[in-house]
Amino acid sequence: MQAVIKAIDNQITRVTALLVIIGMSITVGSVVLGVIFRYFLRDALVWSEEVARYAMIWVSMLGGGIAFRLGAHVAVDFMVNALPPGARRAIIFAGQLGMLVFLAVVVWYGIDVTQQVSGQRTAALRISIAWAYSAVPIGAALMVYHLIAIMIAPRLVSPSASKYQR
Amino acid sequence: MLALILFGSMLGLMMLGVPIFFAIGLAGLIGALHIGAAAPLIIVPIGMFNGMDSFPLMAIPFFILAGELMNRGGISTRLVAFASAVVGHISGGLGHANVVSNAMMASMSGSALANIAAVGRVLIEPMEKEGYKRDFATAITVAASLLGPIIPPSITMVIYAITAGTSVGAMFLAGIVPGIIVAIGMMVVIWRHARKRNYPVHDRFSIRRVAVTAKDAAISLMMPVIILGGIFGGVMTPTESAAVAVVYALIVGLVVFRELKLRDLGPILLNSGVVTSFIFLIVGAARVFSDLMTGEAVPQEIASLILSISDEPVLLLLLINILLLFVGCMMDTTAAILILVPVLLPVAIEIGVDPLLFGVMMSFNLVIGLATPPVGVALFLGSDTGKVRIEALVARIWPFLLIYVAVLLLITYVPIVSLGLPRLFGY
Repeated sequence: MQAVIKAIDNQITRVTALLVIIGMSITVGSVVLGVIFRYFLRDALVWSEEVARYAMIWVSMLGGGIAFRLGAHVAVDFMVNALPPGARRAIIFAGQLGMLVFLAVVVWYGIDVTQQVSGQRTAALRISIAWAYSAVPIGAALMVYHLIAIMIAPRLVSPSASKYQR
Repeated sequence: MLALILFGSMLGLMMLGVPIFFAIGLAGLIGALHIGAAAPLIIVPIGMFNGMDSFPLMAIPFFILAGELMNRGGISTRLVAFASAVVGHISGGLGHANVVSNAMMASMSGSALANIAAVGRVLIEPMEKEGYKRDFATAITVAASLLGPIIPPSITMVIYAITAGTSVGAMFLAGIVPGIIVAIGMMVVIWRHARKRNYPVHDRFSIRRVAVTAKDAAISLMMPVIILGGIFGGVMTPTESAAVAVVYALIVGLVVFRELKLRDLGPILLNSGVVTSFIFLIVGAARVFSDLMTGEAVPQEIASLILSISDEPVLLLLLINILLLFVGCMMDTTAAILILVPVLLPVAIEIGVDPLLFGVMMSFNLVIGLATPPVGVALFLGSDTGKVRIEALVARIWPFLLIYVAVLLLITYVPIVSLGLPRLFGY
């Protein structure tokens, strides 16, 4: 049973990491293409800026989940660290519950917004803007997943990015 | 009342160890609940999306990526070698090389942290051999790395420019002269220290060595030419020039120096993606926070409160600097700018301070906070890179931080120091 959960968790994390890498590549690629077309081919690419912006929102929302696993959500912890272990654990736990409440609001109302705007088309690509907005609830849902994962098993936090590359 | 709830819950949550993005987001949520019907919770995801949806902001991921590629691809080490060849013969040799390397790297990367790892790894050991105490060598590295956000390009200044509605290019120009003054100030302190301690000057100045290292460094030095030339020449937007710099760093690392392997790219992209995400999420949450403030006229309230203390610009500027210095010690740079600019900029404008000048002041204050306890991230990274204790680092770094404070006072009261260049370029 544990092995199965571990395997599923591994896949979720690896796929999210892969999506962040792809998103970063798309962002750089489309801006550079935009520059090449505008300055060298004298023909503006209408979609390059839009693609880059939306890819970046996806990267940010998905990266927020991976950041839990990499221990990259910077916090001011010198005061908490000065507390006795029991009190420290309690306060950190309370904080994490608060974070879950916030994320739940983002997921819930994020789905709401995504549905509301799904009829609108983006300016350049003329696709539904829900493709961009959905990054917010989906990313927040994944953050909920990763936050709960490290709450249950703190040893899942490791500051090495290369381990998702195997 | 709303101001108290917003700032109180944000600070409270931060002190309890809640990560910055969540502390700001939760504070916004609490504020929205307090307002009630006028602020339905749907503004939370909408504000986050709108905050992150910005093309100028996208210069940031590219500067982060370019910095990582530079460090892994051998561009940074060649710059350090060149700097050592040029200034290594001055008394205190490698200390100067450290400052100059950091200043040069500041003109390609946008942050302090990228510089610490790169310069620290290459120079701290040799500096020790030259007679420097390890903690002093590390202190120099950390202090000089703070030039990263002052000398353009600068992530801090991109965020300020977007929040304050000024030109990114103009902000970049305003940082150049103050940055150079700090670098010179640091070199004077190092020179005096080296003379007193009689550090050996082991390298004679050799024009051949300069020429050899310059040949290698020339390829690296094309980076700032692309970035700054692209922006100031009016050819490219900051975001575009940053993206081109990424491609340049990639090609140099993969093909020219061949120190970068294709399989390194995955982790590099993931790392810079996560670092960017950290900044972007804060931008998103801070947008919710500041939309609530503007909606309820909180900035005007705070502005009139501050202006009721005094209307003497000299005094008010001093108070604002002290406040910012304090905030910089406690708070992340990005978050501090996004949350304080809407509140403090109107006050600054009211007493006749140029928004560009205010941006440079703010950058200086917040950058100093990167190297002070209790939450100075540059200090932590420096102690890790140099393998010295934080306390030892703090004890040796303060003379250099005083230089930053002195230059901060200079730019505050002699605006031409920072505004001269932007004015020259017609901003």
